[in-house]
Amino acid sequence: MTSAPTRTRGQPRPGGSFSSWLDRNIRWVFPLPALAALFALTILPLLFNLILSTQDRSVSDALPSRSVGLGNFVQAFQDPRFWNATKLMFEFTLIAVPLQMLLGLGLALLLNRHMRAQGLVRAAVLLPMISTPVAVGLIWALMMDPNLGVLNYFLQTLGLGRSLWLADPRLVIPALALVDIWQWTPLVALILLAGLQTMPDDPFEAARIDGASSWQAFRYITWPLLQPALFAALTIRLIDALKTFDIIEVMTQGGPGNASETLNVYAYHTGFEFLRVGYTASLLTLLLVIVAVVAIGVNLLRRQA
Amino acid sequence: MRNLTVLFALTGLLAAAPAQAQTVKWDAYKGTTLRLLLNQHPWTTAMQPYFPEFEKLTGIKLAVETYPEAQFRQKVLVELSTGGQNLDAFMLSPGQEGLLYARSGWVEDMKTYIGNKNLTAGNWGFSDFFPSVVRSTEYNGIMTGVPIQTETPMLFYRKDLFAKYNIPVPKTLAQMEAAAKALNGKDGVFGIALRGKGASATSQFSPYMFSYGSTWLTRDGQANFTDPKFVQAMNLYTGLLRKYGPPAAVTMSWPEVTSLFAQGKVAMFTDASLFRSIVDDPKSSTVAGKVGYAPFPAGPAGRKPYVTTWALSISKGSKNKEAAWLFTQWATNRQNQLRVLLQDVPAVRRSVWNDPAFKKQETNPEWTQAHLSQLASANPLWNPPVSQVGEVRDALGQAIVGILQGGNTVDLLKRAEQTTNSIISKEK
Repeated sequence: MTSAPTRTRGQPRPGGSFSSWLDRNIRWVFPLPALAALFALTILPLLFNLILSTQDRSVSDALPSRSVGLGNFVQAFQDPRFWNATKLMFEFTLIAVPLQMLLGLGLALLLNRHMRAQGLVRAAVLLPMISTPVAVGLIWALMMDPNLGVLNYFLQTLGLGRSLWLADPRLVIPALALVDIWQWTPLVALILLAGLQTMPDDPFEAARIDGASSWQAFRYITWPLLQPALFAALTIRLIDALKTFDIIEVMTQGGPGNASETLNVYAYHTGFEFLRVGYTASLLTLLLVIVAVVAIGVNLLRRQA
Repeated sequence: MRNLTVLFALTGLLAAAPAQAQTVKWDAYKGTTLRLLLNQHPWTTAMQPYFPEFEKLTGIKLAVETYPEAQFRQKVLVELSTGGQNLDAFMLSPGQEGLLYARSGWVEDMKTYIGNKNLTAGNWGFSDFFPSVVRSTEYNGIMTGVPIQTETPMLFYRKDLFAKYNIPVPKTLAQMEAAAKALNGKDGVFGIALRGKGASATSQFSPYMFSYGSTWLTRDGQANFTDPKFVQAMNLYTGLLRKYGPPAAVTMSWPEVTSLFAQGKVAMFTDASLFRSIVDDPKSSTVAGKVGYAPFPAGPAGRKPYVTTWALSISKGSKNKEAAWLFTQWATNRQNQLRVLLQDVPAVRRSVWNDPAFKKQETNPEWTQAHLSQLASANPLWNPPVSQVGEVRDALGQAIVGILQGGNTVDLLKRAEQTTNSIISKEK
C-alpha cells in the first residue's frame, strides 16, 4: 500500500491509467498516425536517399559499390551534363510559368464575368488539366511531327514555312513549354478564379461611385486583393515546372542529343538506364535543394508584398 | 530398304507425337502458379492465345503481365535487382541485358535444364535451333535464355520506285548510297530513312560498322570508336541521313522510321527484319504489296549482318524454376515456333521454315531468303559487350546526334570513346 500515493496522480477518473494517460497526451496521440505516415513515406526515403547519395552504387552486385562521401556531388559539379540539365530546367520554367500566370489571369478574369452556360465553359476550360500527361505528350508529339504533324500543316497554310519543333535543339524547350502552358494554364486560372470570387463587393462599389475606370479598379483593388491567390498559384507552378518529367520523357526523352534533358530527366536516365543509383540519388538531392530554395524564395517575396 | 522404311515411319511417329508423350511428366507441378513478365512484342501477341493449352496440359496456372518495351525492361530490372523471388519466367533481350544479368547472377543457366533428361523431352530438339541464335544468348559462359524469335537487319525498299526509275536492288553499301541519291526527291520521297535518335541508332549502326571491318571494342577491351574503319562507317551512316534522309532524323527511332516508310515518304530503309509486319500490312501501310526485301548490303569487309534475339529466361530467385522450365520448353517447341512463324514472327527453329504450312502461306520468299541467308554469318554483338550497355549506347548516341547536327565526326567519336573507356574502367 506504500505505492498508493504515487498512483493517485494516475487515478483521477475511473477507467484505469491508460485512459488518463490518453487524456494527458491527446494532442500527441491524434497526430501520431499522420506522423507515422510522414515518417515512413517521406522522411525515411529522404534519409535513405541521402545515404545513397554518398555511395558509388549500382543496382547490380557485378558493379562496384563503395562509399565516396561527397564524391558524387563533386562529380555532379564537374559534370557538364548536370549544368546543362540545370540550365534547361530553369529555361523551361522561365518560359512556361510566366506565360501560364499571364494567360491564367486573363482566363480567370474572363471566366469571372457573368455569361451564358457558365458551368459548361468552365468545365471545357479545365479539360487540359485533367488529361493524363502521358496522353497529352503523345498527342502533342504527333501534332509536332515535322513530316506528318498537323502543326506544320497550319504553319504552311499561313505561309510561315515548316518548323522542326522537337527535332530542333533551339526550339525543343519552347515547344515543350508550349505543351506545359496548354496543360497547366487552367490550373492557374482556377486558383485565380477562386481568388476573384471571394473578393468583397464593397470596394468595387465605392470605386464605381468615385468614378474609377475599370483599369483603375483592377490596378488598385483586384490586383492587391488577388496577391495571395497569385502567390499560391506561382508557388505551385514553379515547383511543378522545375521538376517536370512526364511530358519531356514522353515527347523527347531529353533529346535531340540532350537539348531537352532537364535535371529530373537526366536523373531518370542515370538511374534507370545507366543504373548508377548513387549518382542519381545525389542529383535528386540537388534537385530537391534547388526546388526548396525557389519555393522559400517565393514565400519570402510574398511576405514582402 | 525395309529398315529404312521402318526408320522413316519411326521418325514420322516421333515427329507427329506430341512432346508430352516423352519421359517428361508434364503434370508434375500441378497447382503451381507461374508469374510471367512479357514484353508487348509480336511474339507475345502470337503466343498468348495458346497459353490456356499449356495450363490444361500441366495444371500450372500462368499469371501473365505484359508491358510496353521501355516499362517492361525497367520492371524486370527492378524485380531482378531486388531478388526476383516473385518472378518466374520473363522475356530477355540478351544483346541488351545478357551480360549484366549474367554477371549479376540474376538468371538461370539454361544449359543445365536442357541437359536434364527428367525435365526435357527427348523430341524437344535443341539441335533444331539456329546455332548463331543460340550463341547470341550466351554471356559470361551462361546461356541466359532460350530464344523465341530472332531478327536480322534488312534493306526494305519500294519496288515500284526502283522499277520506275530503273534502279537495281543494292548489293553493296556503295550501291545503296547511289540508289538513295538517285531516288531522293523523286515522287516526293526521301532517299533513305535510318534511326538517328541517339542511343536507338547505335544498334542499327552496328551492321554498317561490321561491314566496314570494325568492332565495338579493341582486343584489350577498350572502345574502338576512333578506328579509321569505324569512322568511315559512321561517316557513311550519318552522311546517308544528312544528304538523303528526312529532316528530323535526330528524333527518329524505329516507330518513326517505319511509319514514314509506311506512309510512302521514303524510298528505302535498313532495320530489323521483324518490321515487315508493320510496313507490309495493308491495314497500317499505304505501300503494302510494294515492299521489296534484300539482305543487308555488303561493305568493304563483306556482308556482316547482326542477329538479335528475344529469349525466355528464368529468374534465379524463382521458387518454381522447374515449372518455369516446363513453360519455356513448351513455348519453344516446334508446334509453337510454327505458330509464331505463321504470324510473321521470325522463328528460331530451322525445321519450321520448311514446314508445308509455312510454305503454303509464304507470300514473300524474298524476305524469308534475305532473313535466312544472313543467320549463318550474323554477329550477335549488336550492342557493345559491356555491362553498362545503356550508358555506352547513350555516349555513342550523343555522338551520332552531334554528327547529324553538323559536328565534327572524329571529335565527337573521340569524346564518346573517352566516356566509354571511363565507364568500362569502373566495371569488373
